[in-house]
Amino acid sequence: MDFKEAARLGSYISKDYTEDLFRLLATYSSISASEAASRLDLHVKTVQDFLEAMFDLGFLDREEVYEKKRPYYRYTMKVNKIVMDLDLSPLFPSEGKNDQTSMRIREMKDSGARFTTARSDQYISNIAIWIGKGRERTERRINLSIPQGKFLFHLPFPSADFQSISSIMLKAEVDTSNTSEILDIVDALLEFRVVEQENNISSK
Amino acid sequence: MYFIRKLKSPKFGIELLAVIFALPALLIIMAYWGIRAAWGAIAIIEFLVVLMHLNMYFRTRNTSYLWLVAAFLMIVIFAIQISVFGMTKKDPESIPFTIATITAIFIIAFILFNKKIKWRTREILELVAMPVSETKNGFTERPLSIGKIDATPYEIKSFSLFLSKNMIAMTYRENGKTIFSLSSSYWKQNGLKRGYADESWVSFSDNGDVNVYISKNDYLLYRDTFSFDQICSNLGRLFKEFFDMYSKGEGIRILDKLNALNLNPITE
Repeated sequence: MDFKEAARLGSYISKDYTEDLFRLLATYSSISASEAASRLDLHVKTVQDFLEAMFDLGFLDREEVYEKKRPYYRYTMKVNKIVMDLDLSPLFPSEGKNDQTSMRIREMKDSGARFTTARSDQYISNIAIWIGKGRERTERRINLSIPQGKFLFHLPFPSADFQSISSIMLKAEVDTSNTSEILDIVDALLEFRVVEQENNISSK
Repeated sequence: MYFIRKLKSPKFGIELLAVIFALPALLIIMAYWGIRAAWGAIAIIEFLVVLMHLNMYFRTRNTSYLWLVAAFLMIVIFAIQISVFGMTKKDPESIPFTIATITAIFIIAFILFNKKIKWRTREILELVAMPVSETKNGFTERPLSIGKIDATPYEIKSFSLFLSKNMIAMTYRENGKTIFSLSSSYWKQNGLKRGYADESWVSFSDNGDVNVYISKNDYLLYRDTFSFDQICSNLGRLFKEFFDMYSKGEGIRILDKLNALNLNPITE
């Protein structure tokens, strides 16, 4: 199951009518949306959406039935157990991503970001970035973990030479086990144009 | 020492403005209430100055402020003698009072022209910019980590006392570090406001970590957009050099280095 399916399942499972609908599906050999809605005193569209979602997720079967003038679906329970098996391994950084520590970066000139230094130690506790233009500008504040804060404390100034991420981490005494979160914050700051990369400058 | 000035010319100090506004006020008081009332106003003003200098002595431990307290107290007493007791030049006590007041004025002039109470912020900013020729700007509000020094907390405390006594930096102690603040604003230079917010500073932590921060206001004092990272690095290196000199017992060489720039003791 991927994140989207899990989110869809979770959003329906969390409704207070879910258990009652599943009980109806277990009790009846087959049931339509209007029958279920009238039985539970719910809006037919609500039940329709639920049954369609459960069908898409593979928990129900449906059969098109022709009665009177309009065809409709009748739903049958296909499973007697629902297991949410969500694989998080695609979210973990791959080995290739950690090789990005050779990327050379520095703070971008006139980025407008405000770095707040922790009072007690040598690290940045949060960054405030202005996003948008004119009257629609909003401030986005990112709270940093301590390794991220130590890393950014040693980020080269806008007029200084570029330095590789690995050398900055060494200077900041940030352990290599924190590489993935360092790369994550660097990606975010590149996106917000607080940090610039050497290759982007030389290509201009 | 001849060098190319990197800082803009100083603006009119608040002291000069205070004198410019005080003189007409005194003339008005004299015109309406007489000369004795004017001397009374002078006594009040100078007494406030006494209090200010006394505060500065306790903040910096610079003994020149005690001399100034004594000198200005003499002027206050002289003014009170004229204002309250109506002393004139024909009175026998006017001669010693006049001599004492003239002596007090000489003391004040000596202290001022010998830069005994001159904050050295401009000298420091000139020194750090001296080797910088690139104008890549690059201002940022982050502090810069310069590295480490080999110093015990006691040595740092002793050094901080030296810096504050010689008007090089106002020192603050917090969270395991000592902050040397380069006072720029009139209010902070005269002890009327505390704190190092919005000012440039160098910090020595108890672990020996050295960090540098240059404020936007101080960076804008430069004539051009000199490379900010070099300015910050130089400031950190300068303070490390000062610490080395002080540790070797050569604190006087720090003052020689600052005095060699020959900045105007009154306007700069």
